[in-house]
Amino acid sequence: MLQQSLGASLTTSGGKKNHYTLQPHTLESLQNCVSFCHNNHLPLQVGDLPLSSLYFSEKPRLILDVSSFNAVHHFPVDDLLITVDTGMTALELQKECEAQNLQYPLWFPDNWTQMDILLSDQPSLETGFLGYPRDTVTATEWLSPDGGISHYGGEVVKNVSGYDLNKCILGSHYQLGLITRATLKLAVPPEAEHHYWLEISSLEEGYGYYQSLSHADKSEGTTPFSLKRCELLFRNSHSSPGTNGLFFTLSDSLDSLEVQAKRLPGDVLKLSKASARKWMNTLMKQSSPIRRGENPLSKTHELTMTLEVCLPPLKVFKWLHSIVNRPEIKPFGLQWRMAAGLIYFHLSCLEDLSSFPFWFEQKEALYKHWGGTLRMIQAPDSQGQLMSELNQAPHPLTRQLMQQWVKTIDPHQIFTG
Amino acid sequence: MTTDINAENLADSPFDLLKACIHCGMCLSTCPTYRVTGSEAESPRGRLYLMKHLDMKHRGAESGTQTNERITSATGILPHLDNCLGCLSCETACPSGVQYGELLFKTRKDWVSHPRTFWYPLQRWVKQLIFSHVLTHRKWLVSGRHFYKLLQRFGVFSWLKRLTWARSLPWVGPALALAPVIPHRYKPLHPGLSFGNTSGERVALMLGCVMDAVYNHVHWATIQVLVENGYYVYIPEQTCCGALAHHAGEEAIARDLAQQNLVSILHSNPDWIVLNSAGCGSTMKEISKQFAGDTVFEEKAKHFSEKVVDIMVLLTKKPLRPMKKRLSMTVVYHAACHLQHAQKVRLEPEAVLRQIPGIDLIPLSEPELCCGSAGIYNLEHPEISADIMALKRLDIIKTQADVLVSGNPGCLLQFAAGLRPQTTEEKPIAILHPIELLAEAYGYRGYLPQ
Amino acid sequence: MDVLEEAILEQFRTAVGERFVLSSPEERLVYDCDGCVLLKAIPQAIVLPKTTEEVSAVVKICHTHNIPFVARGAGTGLSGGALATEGGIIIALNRMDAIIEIDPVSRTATVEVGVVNAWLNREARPYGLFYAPDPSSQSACTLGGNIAENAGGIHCLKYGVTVDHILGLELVLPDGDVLWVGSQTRRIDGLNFLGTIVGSEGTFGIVTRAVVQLLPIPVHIHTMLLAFDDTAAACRCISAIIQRGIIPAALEFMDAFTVNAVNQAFSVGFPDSAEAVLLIELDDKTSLGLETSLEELLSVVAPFKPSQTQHAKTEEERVQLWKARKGAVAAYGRYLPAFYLHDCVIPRRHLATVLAQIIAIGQRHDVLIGNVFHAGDGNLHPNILFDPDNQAMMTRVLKAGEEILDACLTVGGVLSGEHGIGIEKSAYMSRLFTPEDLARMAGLKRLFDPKNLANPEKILPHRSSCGENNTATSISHPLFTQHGAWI
Repeated sequence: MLQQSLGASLTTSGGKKNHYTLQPHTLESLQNCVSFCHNNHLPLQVGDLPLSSLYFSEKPRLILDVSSFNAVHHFPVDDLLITVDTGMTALELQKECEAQNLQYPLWFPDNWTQMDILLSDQPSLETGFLGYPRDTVTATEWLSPDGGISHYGGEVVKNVSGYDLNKCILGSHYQLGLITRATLKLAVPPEAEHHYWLEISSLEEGYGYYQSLSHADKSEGTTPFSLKRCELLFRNSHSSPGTNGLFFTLSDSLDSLEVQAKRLPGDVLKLSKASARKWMNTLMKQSSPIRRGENPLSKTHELTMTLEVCLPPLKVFKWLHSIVNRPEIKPFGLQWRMAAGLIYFHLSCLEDLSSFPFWFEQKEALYKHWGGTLRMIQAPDSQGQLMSELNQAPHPLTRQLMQQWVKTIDPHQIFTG
Repeated sequence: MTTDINAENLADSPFDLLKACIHCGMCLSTCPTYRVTGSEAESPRGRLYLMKHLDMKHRGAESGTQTNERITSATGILPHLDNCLGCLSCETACPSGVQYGELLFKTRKDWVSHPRTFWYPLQRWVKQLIFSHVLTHRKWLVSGRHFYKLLQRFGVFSWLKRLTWARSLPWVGPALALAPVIPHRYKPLHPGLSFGNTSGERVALMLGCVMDAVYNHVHWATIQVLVENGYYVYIPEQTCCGALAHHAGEEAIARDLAQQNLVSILHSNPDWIVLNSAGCGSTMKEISKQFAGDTVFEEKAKHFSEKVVDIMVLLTKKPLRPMKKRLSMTVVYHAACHLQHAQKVRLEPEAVLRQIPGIDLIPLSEPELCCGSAGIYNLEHPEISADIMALKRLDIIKTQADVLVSGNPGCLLQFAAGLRPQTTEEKPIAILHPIELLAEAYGYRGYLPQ
Repeated sequence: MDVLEEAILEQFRTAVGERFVLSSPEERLVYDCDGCVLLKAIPQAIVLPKTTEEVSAVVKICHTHNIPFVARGAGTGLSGGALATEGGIIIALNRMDAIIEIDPVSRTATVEVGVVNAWLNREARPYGLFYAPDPSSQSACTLGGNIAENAGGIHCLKYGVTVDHILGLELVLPDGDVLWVGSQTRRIDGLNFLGTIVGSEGTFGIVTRAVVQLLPIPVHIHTMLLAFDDTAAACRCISAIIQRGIIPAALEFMDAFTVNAVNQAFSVGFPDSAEAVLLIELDDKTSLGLETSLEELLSVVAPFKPSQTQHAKTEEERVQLWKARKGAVAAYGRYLPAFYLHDCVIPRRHLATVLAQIIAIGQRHDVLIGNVFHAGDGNLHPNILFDPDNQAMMTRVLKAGEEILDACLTVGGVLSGEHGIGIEKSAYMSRLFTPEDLARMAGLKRLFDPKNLANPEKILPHRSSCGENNTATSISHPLFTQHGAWI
């Protein structure tokens, strides 16, 4: 009966009896589903962004499956824009674009949905060069928890008409509802992309190498390195060979790439497309809260937690030096998106759970003295509450205002649990 | 396009010049009085707006029609117009080409007799007296200078400066604050003197009032540099240029003086009429505007205006003879408003200064900003003037230069007072007229401080 | 509206100092409009605070006495955003003009909002950095005003608008509390309030400080001018450039009327006979990169047969070209003393059709329209010239404006790209947004400003009568019927 009134199919999922998946096929039935939960104060899980302990628990709940919302709504190729339903996955989007010889500028793992990407404003490997997902959005359709729909923007690249509701919903982690449709800016793809791996033995070495890659621009007459991704991976000095290094991508015309390749140092390893793709997948999954395709009830994530620090890019190295010897973060694995100033710490939960107070303290210090931000993007289930506390805006009044806004939009907390 | 609108419909009467202002606000950030007061009523756009209302009221009263500008009054508006320095930096900034100076001086002239305050008639009488009877008599000025030196020697000024009541007197207080230390050297110049080879181009040198009384040595430097470069320099019969009267709206006095100068100077048949004072220069250059439409003098005035030239501009007309002496120093150039905004002389002075061997010219970050002197503005509006000087001071001190040069006596006086070191660590900065550096570089001595 | 009562003025004087409360009729009069001369409203007083604490104190007084307040910078806005239409006071922030810090390592600057856009650039230049958004009024407009309107500018095609360059903000809420949002990075903690506060036109409170992003000055720049005999060809050329994936630093359009006005004003010698002129600027970190993209650009442009191609050979020539472009609007002053400027953004593919419609509208209503706009962004700027003293012309101008707006909205355009909604376009908001959208926006406004004191009646369309009717004209137009504004 519920199925009929909501216009969505209802199935049990994940082999768990008390987990029900709702799969609406039209916007109207999606609206119905959301307002049904709103009216009945039922928690509703959408997407794969664990927000609270709800995501992990075995408590009864509804899961919203938006996979049938994956159509291309409008594709004005001339304007380099595309309007899609946000159930569309990254792979589907890239395929649509490729057909017109275009490209969505940010690369994401194949099965991630636009909804997850946009609502987490997830930095991609290209973010230091091409911006955040929020920079690529010109219009959204926003379904709020009460079932209301608002629109903002259009197929225009510049817009100050009224309050920017796009900015409001993008990156809101489902706290304010769903983005059901979005207009995205596209780019003309480069002729080719070449991926490289360079083994390093210390952070200094990696940083120095990145600088030589990005600063080589200044010398006259040489082709600059057209860097598109540059990620430094570092476990610690005792880790096995092959794990510490710099993954980077150059993208340009074939001729130019050939010239650039000659100027790379000899010990650089050129990666095949397939292995680069594998790398990119791992790098993205490690640096994101999106757990698409993972079993939420598996216990693997109990073992690690991941923190993200963002600083002005040129300050990162100095900051790292200031904390690198702190006992709380050893042993650590580090992933550094150099151009964006993003660093991800992969910590082992077994040993580092006690370090939470340290990170609260660091967040404060980062905010006050370094102008940076800190958030936890993956944490053990048991720490869900602590994690969401850590991830709030640091200024108390700002935090209060944000909470008030969430409460106005979603009074029964159907999304946040 | 079929339409009855065209540019000719505008600008028939001077007050239609007001229509050129599109209220864009590009002038605001360059206006010194707006910068220090923060009030748009003290900005060019605000003043134009007020002028417009003044004009509408005026016309409304004349034609008997009622205007809806009931809340404002002339007495309320005029002080804002009086507060204008007349630096005209807004004209430089204006993309619509609004002739702000023209409008301001016209309005000031039209309303000069309107009493703003109780004391205004008295103030005006004193000013008129000074403009028409003091500044015009060289004897007065020269004896004034000697008297001043005498007082200075006996320490009268430093004694007066210590008296609170004296400092608080209008005019006197600010004058005391400015009171310059006048150099001892004074070699009188008077009409009839001439220098250099008669075969050179004939250059008539205007002496001015303050310039001659306080900066007499600048005239000598001017003569020396011009003679070095082959000009024939002479001092024609002349009177005050009338700039102060013109800016105060006392048009009758200004015109009378201009007429005298016009006749006597043109009579001496100069190739150039050269000035080393930017304020005088801009007024003299605009004589043609003053006499536009005058049956007798229009042609003459046009002829006259064409010959008027600032010393620094004249020096760019021909390549300079090489200078022998190397002056190793860092220099900042302050462009007097009446040079850069009123006369639109922007590049020439720096081009000339760069030719002096050894000089390192440091740019200011806000070269277009006034120093707050503006004729006698610093006496009439000491607070605003001091605030503007403070802004300018920051910019100049930052450069750590040895010398500041400026081509206007008003600015020189203002800087002499305003740039005195405020702390012991602060490096003192010498204040000179640019021509003094040139004279020094040509081997003449005594212009640089010890 | 009459001046505020003396007791309240006295409180303001205590808060900011005697000299910095303006209340004489003349002083209030000059604050009755901003860069948009169409609409006027005399404030009840003007307060000029110097610090955040003073702003907070002033706002608290307003909050206690329910006095609306409007923040104002240099008053160069073009949508009437800085007018005290509901009475109340204007809080002018131009005295808050300190550049607190320029940090060349973070490539950020911390500024007070009264800092003029061009001053920041002047101070950043020695570090090899610049602040990218460059509205035409940049030599006068304040960063606070830029933040309020989310200002764009000529070089925003490549570098993005103000919101893309603001990293952190200090906001004085309408009850006087002060909060910070953002950091020195582009990563956002919590909800993105930063992005909504930028562009909120002072309706959420008063932004007093900001951390802005600075970028390295591009070393190699090439500016060129292309003249076309056919407007449609010029528009197709714009699309072709963008489609090829070339992102010029700037891509600007001028029509024949504007070219004439600019030639008169600045004697820049633009080709007089051209129907349309494109100004294109390319920049790059290396000369090689610049050459490559220039070559590519020229090959894209060639099929559209520009009648003339001029390259700026020296820095002076380049500066002159941009000076002419930035001064274009003011150059219209040589024809008529005022202009009514729309700011629609349309999908680029519709440029040619909409431009043709605008020309037709101008002819139909017998008004002069000058088009000079950010073509690369599809951000139109039709300037309808008028004489405020000519009532008949005013009616035609407003009618033409409305038709242009409709033409833009029909093809999927939006009301404003960089000037903001202000009071001037708020009546049109319901043509673009559904009641639900507007309700959502109103909810956001209520969150920040429950008492509706911060710049009331701006952006969102409001109740249609406001008690007293000041309409001195008989013009029937949403602008006037709704707000009772007068000319």
